[in-house]
Amino acid sequence: MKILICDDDEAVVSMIRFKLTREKLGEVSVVNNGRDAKAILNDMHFDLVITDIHMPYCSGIEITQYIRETLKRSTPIIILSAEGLEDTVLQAFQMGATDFISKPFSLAELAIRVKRILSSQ
Amino acid sequence: MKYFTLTYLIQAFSEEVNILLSISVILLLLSIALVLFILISRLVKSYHLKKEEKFKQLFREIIYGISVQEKNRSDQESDLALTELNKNIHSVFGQQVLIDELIHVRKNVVGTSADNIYAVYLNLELHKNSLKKLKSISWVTKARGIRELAEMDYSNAILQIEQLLSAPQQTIREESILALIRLSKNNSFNFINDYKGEITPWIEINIHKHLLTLDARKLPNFSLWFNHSNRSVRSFSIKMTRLFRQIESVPDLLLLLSEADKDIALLAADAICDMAGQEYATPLAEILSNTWDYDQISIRLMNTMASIGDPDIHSKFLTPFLSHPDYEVRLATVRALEQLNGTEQHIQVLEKDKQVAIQQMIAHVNNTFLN
Repeated sequence: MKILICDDDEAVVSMIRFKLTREKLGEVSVVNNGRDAKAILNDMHFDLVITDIHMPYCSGIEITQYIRETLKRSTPIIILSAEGLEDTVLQAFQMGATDFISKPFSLAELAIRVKRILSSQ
Repeated sequence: MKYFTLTYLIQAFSEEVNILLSISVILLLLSIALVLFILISRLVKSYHLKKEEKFKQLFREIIYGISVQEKNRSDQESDLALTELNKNIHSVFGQQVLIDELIHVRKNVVGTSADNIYAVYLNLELHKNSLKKLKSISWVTKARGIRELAEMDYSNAILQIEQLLSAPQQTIREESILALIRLSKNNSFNFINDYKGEITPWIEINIHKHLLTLDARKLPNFSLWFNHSNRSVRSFSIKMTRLFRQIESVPDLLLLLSEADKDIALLAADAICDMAGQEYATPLAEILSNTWDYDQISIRLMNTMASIGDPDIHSKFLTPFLSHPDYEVRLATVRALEQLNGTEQHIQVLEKDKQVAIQQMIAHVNNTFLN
C-alpha cells in the first residue's frame, strides 16, 4: 500500500511516517507543500492521502478537489487540520474527503483509521 | 629616511592637520572594529544555528520514536532513548533545543504520544530548567519559562506562576494568566478571585482560543465574577458568558443593567441581546424604565424586545420610550413596536406634533427601500 503525507510541519510528517511505518501499514511518501503534492499525485498512484489543510501554494481542500475533479480518482483522503471549525469540516467532506482529524490528534487513533480505510479498499 | 618617520610627519604638519589625521585614524580603527564585530557575531550566530540544527536532527529522531511508542512499550527501549537524549543535554543550549522540540511535538499530539513526551520532559528533569527561568532577572526568559511550563502542562508550577500575576512587566502577567488557565485541571479559574491586574484584549483572545478547545459543559460559570472588585475581570466574565452562551446567567446580567459603570452595563446589554430568549422578556421589560437615561442600553434592549417580546404583555413597557428625548431611542422603540403589534395604537396619548413625528418614523421603519 502506498500512502502520501502532505504537511509543511516536519514534526507532524515525521511522527505520522514513524507511526505508519512502525505499524507496517505501507510505503510512506512525504511532501511539504501543495504544489509538490499535485506533482507527485500526477506521477504516482496512492492508496491513501493524508493532507493538512494549511500548506504553502495550495490547501488540503484544493488537493482534495484536484484528486476528485481533475484526476478523477477515488483515492481515500484524510484531512488534518488545526481548526476543527464546522465550516472547514463540512467543506472538506463536500469536496470528497473520506475522514477529518483535528490537530492535536492521537497517533494511535490515526493509525487505526488508516488501517480501517486501507482494509476496506 | 628621516622624512618618513612618524615624529617627522607630526612635526611637519600644522596642529589642525594633526587633529584631522588623528580623528581619521580613530574612525578607521573604529570601522575595522565594527566590521570585525559584525563578522564575529555572524560567525557565532551561524555556529549556534549549525549546532542547533545538529541537536535538532539528533533529538527529533529520538523524540518521534518515543512519541509513537505504545502504552505498554518496553522499558528498555525507553531507557535507551532517554540515555541517548541525556548524553546531549549537558549544556543549557542543548537543554533548550530539546525543550523547544518537545513542546513543538506535544502541540500536535494527544493521548499516549503526548504522555510519552511529557514523561521525557520529567525524566530528564527539564522542568527544573523551565522553573529556573521563572527566577531570571530578564523578563523575556521569565516569560519563556512560564510558557514552557504551560505548554508541557506541568501543573506543579501553579503556585510559582501565581506569584508572577502581580509582576511589574505586563507580558509576564499575561503569560501567567494564560498559563494558569491552561494548567487549571478542573477549569476552576480560582486565581481570578484575587486578580488585581488588567485582563487585556490580547489575554481575552488567547483565553477564548484556549477555552474553545475545552468541553463547554466543563467551563466555569462566569457570572461568579460579575461583581468582582476588579473592573477588568467583570468585563472579561461578561464577555465570556456571552461567547459561551451561558444563558442561565441572564438574570445576573439583567441586574448589571442598573450598574453605575455604564460600560459594564452596556456589555451586559449586549450579552442579553445575544442570548435572552422569550422566558426573559418580562424581567427585561420591567427593567426597561431603569435604562431611560442611557440611550445605547435602551436601544439594545428595544431591539431585543422586538424579537422576544409578547405584544399583549410587553408593549406597555415600551410605549413610554416614544417620548424619549433621543431620536435613536424613539426610532428603536417604533421599530420594536412595529415588530410586535404596531405603533399607531400607542401614539394617541401623545401631543399632536409628537404624533406626526412618530408617524414619520413608522413610515420610515416600514419603508422596504430604507430597511
